[in-house]
Parts: sequence; structure tokens; C-alpha cells
Amino acid sequence: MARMKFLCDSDRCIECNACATACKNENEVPWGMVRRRVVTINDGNPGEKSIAISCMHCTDAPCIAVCPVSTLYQNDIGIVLHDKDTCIGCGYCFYACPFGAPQYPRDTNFGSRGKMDKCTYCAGGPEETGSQAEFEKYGRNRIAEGKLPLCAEVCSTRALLAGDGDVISDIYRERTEHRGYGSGAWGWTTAYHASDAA
Amino acid sequence: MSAARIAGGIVALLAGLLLGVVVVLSFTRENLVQPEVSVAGASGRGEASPVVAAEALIGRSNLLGDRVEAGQTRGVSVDTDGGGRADLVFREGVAAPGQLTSSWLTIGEKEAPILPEARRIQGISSLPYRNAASFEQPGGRTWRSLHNDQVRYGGGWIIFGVLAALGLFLFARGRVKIAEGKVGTTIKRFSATERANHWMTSSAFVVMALTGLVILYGKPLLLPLIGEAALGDLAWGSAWLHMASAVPFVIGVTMMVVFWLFHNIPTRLDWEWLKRGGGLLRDDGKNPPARKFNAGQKIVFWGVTLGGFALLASGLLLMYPFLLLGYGGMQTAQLSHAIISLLMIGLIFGHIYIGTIGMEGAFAAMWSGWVDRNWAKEHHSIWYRQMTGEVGAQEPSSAEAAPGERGP
Repeated sequence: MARMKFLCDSDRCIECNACATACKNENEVPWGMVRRRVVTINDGNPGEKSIAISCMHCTDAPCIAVCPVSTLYQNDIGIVLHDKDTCIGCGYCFYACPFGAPQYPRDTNFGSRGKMDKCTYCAGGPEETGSQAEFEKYGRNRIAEGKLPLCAEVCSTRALLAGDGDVISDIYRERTEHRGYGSGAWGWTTAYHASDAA
Repeated sequence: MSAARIAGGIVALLAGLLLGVVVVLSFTRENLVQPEVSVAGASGRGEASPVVAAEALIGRSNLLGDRVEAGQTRGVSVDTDGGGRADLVFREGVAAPGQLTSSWLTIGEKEAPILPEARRIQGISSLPYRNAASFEQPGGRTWRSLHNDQVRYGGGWIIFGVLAALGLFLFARGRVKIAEGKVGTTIKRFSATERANHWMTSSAFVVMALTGLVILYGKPLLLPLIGEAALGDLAWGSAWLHMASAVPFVIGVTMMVVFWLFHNIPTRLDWEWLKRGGGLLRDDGKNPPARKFNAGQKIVFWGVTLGGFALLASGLLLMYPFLLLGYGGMQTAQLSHAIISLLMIGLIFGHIYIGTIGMEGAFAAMWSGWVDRNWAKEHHSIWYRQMTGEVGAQEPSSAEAAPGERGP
């Protein structure tokens, strides 16, 4: 079985923002929202690193756990998806998300922040696969075609890896062994191996 | 045995049972989030299979490797013409979803060396959006367990605990009667303005309590009963009603401060009243002396006003997410809002109890505004003497001795 993950090699990311741009275009993400963004750490200092971040499709995902309705759900290859029809825009998933992934159409919460939007791992949503309704609400469903998220497939330095967790961690590990350095799989401990269900 | 005491016994029993259930549940492990949808791949012929889906996705993942060539790459047979030759389908239901989550949590040998420390990481971002520069906040997971575990179960302890205690009290004690019976003549206790304000505030509180409970408990309690779509609509309506009801509630609580703050300043008398348990346990009507409000009522007043304003403050912070606070602040605001409101619900249960079934003659005070003179004499002795013009022998207060316009 496959377990889909994202891994960003911060020693390769050149902050070109192609991933964020390609994502916005492919999924026609509305104004004011981004499903993927690049964060620069230690900007201008020794050890500066840029890392592309989006929804990491966590194990035991805290967003799903805190959702007061049934908007968020996960499939058996690890992808966390959302159902815009039931979302009430409460913003709880944003408080719970370790990676700032959920996005809302509005900034204030008078009644609602509007229907939440987030990275779907290019796997659409609960509407019929490949339908216009699915595209308008959730964007492209590349997974249904056996393809991976466009952000990773478009990455020119192959800093951003998407795919089965074992495969991409192998690729990353072999790469760091070959070049002799690497700062690890950023976010992986929190995303994939932390459980707060105690 | 009176009907009231029997009803009290039944409530005590039911609430006690539910409290027991909540107590047991709160010591069990919270469920892991489980996948609900399975993915399978159809490779042209035969049934769609999860193995085909996995092969397609793993094959495609291998294309991201460095120096990928056709044929054997990194020991894997790789098809460089694009992979993705399977159509993947999504179906409801996953076999053994809990085991799947547990297996994902296990750290493999190959992964262990590349796992970083989980920590708060903040950088900069070229985007103008709030929080765009945050990379990682593991505190989100802490907030999740506090919200889903401690607050949710804690609320159950409060709600069923208070109900069980009140039911038990009614069962054991019965209603608090007017010892000398109703005299039949009345004395004015609350003006029409005070009563209208009280009922506006209380109905707004009830609406906010119910809608808030839908948000906090709808998923575990209502979802299995009414389904996803109905819960979505109900929660959407609840969120709007909750927001709208805040306006009359806050106006009402502010007016209560204007009307009643003066009467609710704690005095020595309140300490005496509390030490004697407010006379709640005796039937002879010899209750500790009280002015317009006794210590029990003052506790409700301060609980409602301080709690109400705390809910207003935390609620406003939640309405303007991240305007003033960061992640930790927003999470604390949400938790405080939930905890304070659950405590207030418990307090108001007690208030409703003693104002209705718990004490004979009390409800008229806030309904018609006129109370029986014997009730007033027994429960608010000093206030009664002041209202009727009899000089209060005990601790006369110059301020309260002034004839009130609310007198008969």
C-alpha cells in the first residue's frame, strides 16, 4: 500500500515559487488564498533556508479531529480532503493545523469565515471524480489519473517531492548521502509521527 | 412523597448515570483519526484494486528521483513515459482504518535518520497574508487534545454533575416552602424594565448555550443521529445565531450592572448567610437576614457579569482571528470561551432551579414582579422591613434605608 506524503528538501529549494504558482493555476484557487506557499527561515543570515509548505496530509490529522462538523476526512493513501458543503467557516482547523494550511475567503468571523479551502494533494473532493462541480469546488483531480500533485512535478530543482512516503524518503536519503549533507524532512515528525490522542 | 421530590430523584438518577458514562469515557484514550475513503486502481481489466492504485502511485513517485532513466533506476523498474496509466477510483469505507493509522504512526528504520525535532518554526514570507510566514506550530496538536478531551469531557462533568446534584438536593430536601404559608398580599420586587431585561438576557443566554453546545458536541452526539448534511446546516445556523444573540446578551448584562451592581456589593452579611447555608436546609423560615439580594444571588450576579464580559472579550477575539493574538493566544481564547461558558451553564442551572421548582414563591419575583409578603419576610428580611417602612434593627444601611421607588 502507498502512503502519500510531501517532503521539501530545504537545501535545494530556491524560493522560485513555481510550486505555489502552478498550484494556484492548476486548481484555480481564488484570490486571497494559497494552498502552497514558500517560507524562508533565517532570511539574510547564515543557514538561510526556504521551504515550500502546504497541507502535509498528517497522520491522526488534528484538523479532522477538531472539525465540529464532518468537513474534513482522510482516505486510505493518507490524503486529507474537505467537503465544502458542510463547512461552517469556524476556523478551528486553522488553530489545530501545525502548518497553516486551511484558508478562508474572509478575515473576520461574524457567523463564518466562509467555506474553508486547502490543498487536496490534487485529489479533488467528494463530488463526482472529474466533474465540473468537483473542479470548481476543489480543483483538479490528478490522483484519479494516477498522477502526483503538480507542485512537486513542476519543481525545477526537485526540492519538493510528493508521492509514496517510502519512495520519497529513499530518494531524499540517497541524495543527502551522495552530497554529504541534508537538514532532514522538515515537518515530518509533527505531521506523520505525532499522535496527541492520549 | 411529593411529586417534586420524585422528579428530583429521577433527574438525579439519570444525570448520575450519564455522569458515570462521561467519567468512564474521559479516562479512555481518544480515538485516532481514521481514514474513511479507500482508493483503488483499475488497470484496464478486472475489478479495481488498491494494489493497482499503490503500484501506479509508487511508480509515479519514482519518477521524481534524481537521474531517472528508463528501465532500472535505483533498483526499481521505472516507466518514464509518465506512469499514471491507471484510473483511480474513490470509495466510501476502509477496512481496519484504525490499524492503518497506527501503522502510519510507526517510525520506519529508513525514516528515523531524517526526522527533525518537532518545534515552532517561524520564517518570513513574500505573501501579504496573516500567518503565511509560520512554517510549523506543533501546539496545534496540543490544542486539539485539550479541546477534544479535557474541555469536551469536562463540560460533561459540569453539566451532568450539576444536574445530578440539584436532582439529589430536590429529592432529599423537597421544595423550600414558605414556612408561614402565603399571606396573599404582595410587595413589588422587580420593575417591568428589570424583568424585561432579565428575560431578554436569559433567552439570549439559552440560545447561545444551545448553539454553542451544538458546535462543541454536535459531532460526537448529533452526527450519528442526523447525518452529515443536517449537522452542517444546523451548525451553520448555530454559528450565525450564536453571533447574533451576543448583542442582546451583552446589552442585557450591561443593564444588569446598571440596575443591580449597587445591591450586589459583598458585605459582612453575606459571609453570615453563607456560613448558615442560606437557611436552605431548614423549614422553619428562620433564614439568615438578607437585603435585596442574598449571597447566593450575589454569586449568580457576579458569575453572570464577570463571566459574561469574559465571554464577550474572548468571543470578540475569536470574531477577529489573529488580529491581536497569535496562534497560542487564539487557542487560549477558544479554550477560555468554552470553559467559561460551560461553567456559566452550570451556574445558571442552579439559578433556574432555585428560581422555579426549588423554592416556593420565588418565580413570581421575576415573572409578575410582585412577591408574597411572607416570602419576602423569610428570604429578604432586611429588604422587606425597609420596603414596608419598618426600621431595620439589624445593620441599618443609610443608603438602602432611603425609600426606593420600587416600593409598594
